[in-house]
Amino acid sequence: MTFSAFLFQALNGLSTASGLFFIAVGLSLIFGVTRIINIAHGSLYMLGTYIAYSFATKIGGVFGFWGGIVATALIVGVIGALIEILLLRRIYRAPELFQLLATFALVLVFNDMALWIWGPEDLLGPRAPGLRGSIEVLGRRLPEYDLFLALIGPAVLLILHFALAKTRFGRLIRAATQDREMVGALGVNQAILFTSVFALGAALAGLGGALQVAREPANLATDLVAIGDAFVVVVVGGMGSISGAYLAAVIIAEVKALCIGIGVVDFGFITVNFSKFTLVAEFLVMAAVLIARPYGLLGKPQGAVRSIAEPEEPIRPATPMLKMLAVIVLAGLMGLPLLAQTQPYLLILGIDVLIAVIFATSLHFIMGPGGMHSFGHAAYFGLGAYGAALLVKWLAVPMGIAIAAAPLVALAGALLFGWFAVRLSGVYLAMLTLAFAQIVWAAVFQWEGFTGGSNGVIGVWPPPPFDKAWVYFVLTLLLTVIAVLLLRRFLFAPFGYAMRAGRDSPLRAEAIGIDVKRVHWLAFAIAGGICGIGGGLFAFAKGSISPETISVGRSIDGLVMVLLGGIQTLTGPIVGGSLYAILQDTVMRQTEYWRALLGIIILVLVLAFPQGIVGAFAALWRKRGGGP
Amino acid sequence: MSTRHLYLALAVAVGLASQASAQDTIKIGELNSYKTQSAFLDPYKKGMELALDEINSKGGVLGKKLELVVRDDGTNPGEAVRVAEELVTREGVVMIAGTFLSHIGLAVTNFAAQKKVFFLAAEPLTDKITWQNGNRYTYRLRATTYMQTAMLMPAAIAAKKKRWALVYPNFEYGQSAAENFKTLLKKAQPDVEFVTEQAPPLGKIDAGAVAQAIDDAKPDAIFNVLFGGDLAKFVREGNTRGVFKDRPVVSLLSGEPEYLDPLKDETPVGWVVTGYPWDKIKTPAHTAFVDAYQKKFSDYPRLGSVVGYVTIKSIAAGIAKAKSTETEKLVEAFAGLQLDSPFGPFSYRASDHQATMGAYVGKLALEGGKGTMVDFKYVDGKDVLPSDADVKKLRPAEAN
Amino acid sequence: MSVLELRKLSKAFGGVRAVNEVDFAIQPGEFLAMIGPNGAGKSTCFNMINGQLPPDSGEILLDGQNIAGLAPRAIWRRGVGRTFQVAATFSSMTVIENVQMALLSHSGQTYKLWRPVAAMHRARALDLLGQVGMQDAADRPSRELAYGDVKRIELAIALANEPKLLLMDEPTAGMGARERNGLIELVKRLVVERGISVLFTEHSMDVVFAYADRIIVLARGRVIADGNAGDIRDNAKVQEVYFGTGKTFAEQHGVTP
Repeated sequence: MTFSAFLFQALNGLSTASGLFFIAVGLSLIFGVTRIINIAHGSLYMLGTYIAYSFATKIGGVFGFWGGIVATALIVGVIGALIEILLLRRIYRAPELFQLLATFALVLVFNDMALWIWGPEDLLGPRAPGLRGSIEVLGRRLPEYDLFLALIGPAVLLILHFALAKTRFGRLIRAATQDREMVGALGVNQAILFTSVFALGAALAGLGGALQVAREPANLATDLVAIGDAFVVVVVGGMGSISGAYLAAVIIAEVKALCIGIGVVDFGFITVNFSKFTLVAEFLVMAAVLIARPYGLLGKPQGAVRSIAEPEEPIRPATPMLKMLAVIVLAGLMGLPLLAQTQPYLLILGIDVLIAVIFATSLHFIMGPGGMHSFGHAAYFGLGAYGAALLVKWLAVPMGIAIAAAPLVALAGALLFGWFAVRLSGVYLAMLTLAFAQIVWAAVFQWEGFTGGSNGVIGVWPPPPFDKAWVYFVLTLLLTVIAVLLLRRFLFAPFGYAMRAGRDSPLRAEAIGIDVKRVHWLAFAIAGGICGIGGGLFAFAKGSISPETISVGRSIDGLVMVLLGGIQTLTGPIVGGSLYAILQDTVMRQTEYWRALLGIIILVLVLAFPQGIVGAFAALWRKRGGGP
Repeated sequence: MSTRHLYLALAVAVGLASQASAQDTIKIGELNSYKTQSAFLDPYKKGMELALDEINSKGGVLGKKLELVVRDDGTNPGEAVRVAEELVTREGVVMIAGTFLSHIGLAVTNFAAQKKVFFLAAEPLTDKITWQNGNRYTYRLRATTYMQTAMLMPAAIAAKKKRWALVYPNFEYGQSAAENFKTLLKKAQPDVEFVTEQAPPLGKIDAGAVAQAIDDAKPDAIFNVLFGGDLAKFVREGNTRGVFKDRPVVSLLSGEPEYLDPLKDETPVGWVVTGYPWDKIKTPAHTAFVDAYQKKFSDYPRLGSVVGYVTIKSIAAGIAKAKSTETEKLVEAFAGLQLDSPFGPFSYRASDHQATMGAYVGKLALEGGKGTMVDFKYVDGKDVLPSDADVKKLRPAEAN
Repeated sequence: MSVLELRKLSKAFGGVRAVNEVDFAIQPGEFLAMIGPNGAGKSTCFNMINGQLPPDSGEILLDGQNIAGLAPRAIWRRGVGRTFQVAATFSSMTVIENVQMALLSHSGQTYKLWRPVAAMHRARALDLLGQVGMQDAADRPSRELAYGDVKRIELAIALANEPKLLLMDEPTAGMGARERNGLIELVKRLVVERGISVLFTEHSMDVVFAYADRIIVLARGRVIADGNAGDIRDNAKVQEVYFGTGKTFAEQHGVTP
């Protein structure tokens, strides 16, 4: 790579950086003020590209293109405001993170909406009128539009910067980012502030999406790609910092451009294709930044937000009624093998449901009582699954040993990653866990010789008698019951109390001799290990395992399960995991637009049960004076 | 009533309720990544529907109507295996078909062997499905990565270029296409040099940087495996930056309407591609197909339409030949099964269970602001597949 | 020997010397108040003793051993209990579980995974609750308690590790006058029974003058006076420091019971 090639790639990086900046800056503002992690932000970006495409092609010309971009930003801004007013405002009092569930449902709905309106095909917009060609730089041709993008990013950054510094609205945003309660105390109408910020953030996402219309086709997969990028940029830059977002966007874009520019390098003993690192470059950057600077490059520690949600009830041992219910459910499950002949699929689904229960319960263990919101729990599921599958593939160990090894592999991974993760808190911890999961995913994906790469490991079937669905079901049921009871037992033991003490008040916990980080670290490891059991069972249930098992999507599924059930209750994840697994199975069969249907069902559940399903029933039970 | 009695009663009740309805249809299970690969699979589904109509309006197969049970596989091998189990155990389908992405196809291939279910892989291209991971119960319709790469070889060799750049999506399909290309070209042209390889993540290409890096490597020619959104981005950046100027490009799949049509006036003229010039194929079989398709859907067929259509036709022909829906008989019947398709007659090879349905190879051109293929010809799959003896060596012993 | 002795303890933030070579000592069983105007360095001093802040220089000797720079939990393990200016509990636990948690930690059982907490140290916890008059509330969720009661729970927690020294940061902050005296009387009775030394900061001068055995006055990071109530009241430097704050000791004197 010559020096001029290097410089030119750096220039390329700047236009990509502007794109990343637009995706991220709105998310950062919204999070800074409202503390909502808006998963639907990528969907707003995607809608931006689609709407701008319609303007550019239906109206066409200079006005259709450039006017369309402005109009798109405004339209998406209005959509953002509507989301805040119609949906999020109703659930601000729910336990934290619950709003995430609502925005996740929106992702599903928006995606199917775009499919319905614009159809399945990629839609490549026209080139930008006035900026169709390229200019000569360093003996190479740089598209004019790329140059325009490279400039408009910093321009918008400057405008935002001054708006935040000089206007009353801007000062309110900054104040709210630093201390939300203070703004409330100043008598500012919080509802209007939140709506405006949501509209502004959405408009910026829409603008970013619209600006891409001349560079890339509108595509239904953009939403998830964009939200992934946005998270990384926001966290690397520091939540709530717009300059940080730009800085992070530049760093990430440049690292990627550099990897691409370097290309294939022969080191003599090994040939490395650096372009393949773009798969994971941003997550490596994020992990490195978070380990060195826990609040991102330009972020500041944020004052602890006192949750406005109802505080959690003390945990109580199961009431006789709950115990009876558990016995009935368990007996029912034990009876399922009787249906092996007539209803064989029930057992297959049952196995999946039970695995989901292990996944959700182990995640809840650290998310609820531990207060550690892991966004990368799939890593431990995947480590367990791959641990078991690779033992079978390379060492041909029997299933028993492979499944026993699964939690150990996951435990080892969780011990390693957890050690770093527990040093952070809140959304930064969430993002570091996400980064680790992505790194595990990329390692598995890239290390073809060992892991089978994108194909994964195939042919991991259980030996007789476990090849019969009912026998495997009984094994799964047994391990699930053990896993759930173990975790429950831990929660009622001193360790579980210490973990909750560390969550309720780290300062006070330290002041009575509890090593909070160490307790949380071990809790993280335990949750990872237990999750690994689910992974091992999964590998043998499916006969194969692929990198999808570790994907962000699976981690988010886990969050959805926990939140659906109710994060503040111990039975919540069991109900949430089961319900979500069954819902997915049922809904996917029902309609072509199953994603929208699933999204709408989740929205209804969110609005009807803002504390999660079990949480709502528990509250009702208490209100009626039943039991302590 | 004791608990045991309760469960027995329950079992009986559920059993009665689920007594299979009258067996006057043959149920075929189909699973695919409809949500995430809709550009290809939407037309694919229509193609299936068209075939189904044609078959059932003529009385079905073995005197029974074909019934299709279609499922989304969640674009996830784990889900796909569960969906396959659901199709087999609950819906009672006699066989399964479908899948798009290579790794999902492979997972279902393996499932088919384990559960002894007949599986017709429709679209996934990886060679492994019929070779390294092949098994008795799996057949595949679509021309494989190897076949399509081999179809492009004459053009690549004729270009007589020494320095080649490769660009491919970083997953099974892209990786194996690149490997096949390098092996085949090296064999034909030992002094060839591969000056750079760009492997962007699927769906996330940083197109400007990739196009520039290829240009900076100063190749004489380029081999492209990108498709979908990645292709559109790459082409636009490459055009603006002059990357394709005076450089022959050979490209997999880029002539398929699914990926070509979105390019519109951006279509890179002169690329040698595999694809499907639907409006220019004038064989009677194809014309009949296009007419029927347009009449039913008021839309033109994509390649997916053909694949969906032929998948169902294959299944009907296989069942008719087997005179049964039993798995083992289907496996036997598909070996050497001959049938007609819009592309012409082809067969399922007994040796590796691969269909010989070919693809069109031609050059991209711009006509009326739209991309199309010119100078194309149909390459029959059997002309590019290795011999029976060779593939026997590739397949596991127990698959043969 | 003193229970606690500070030697030339210093801490600066940026260029500001918040605590500047502070020396003082607490004798066994002593009830020592640390007072001073806002920004005098009381909280900084406090937080260095309890381990939340590492000092820049100087020593903090607990029973003759330097504890400067140790983590809060290590200092607690050496027999220093504390209460917070803004009292709170572990809000997801019941009253008694809060106390049990401290007892569990004290007996080194934090990492036990098996035995349920419910049966552990319950009698001892009830006893401690009894001593602060909160036995009846034992099984209520602690988040439901009135603020004054939370202060009492905090006291019970602070006594759980049988401390030899108790650090109390503004123990009566946020309480009404009657409640305030009730609490301090309770504290005084409990520590006297146990022979615990207490170091506390306090804004309320009536509390300080009525209950403290000795008073230390801090101003601009330095100790400017050290003595009993009478000495402090008559100290010219102290009066000067407090003059601008609008508080005069003459007034304070009047309300002292």
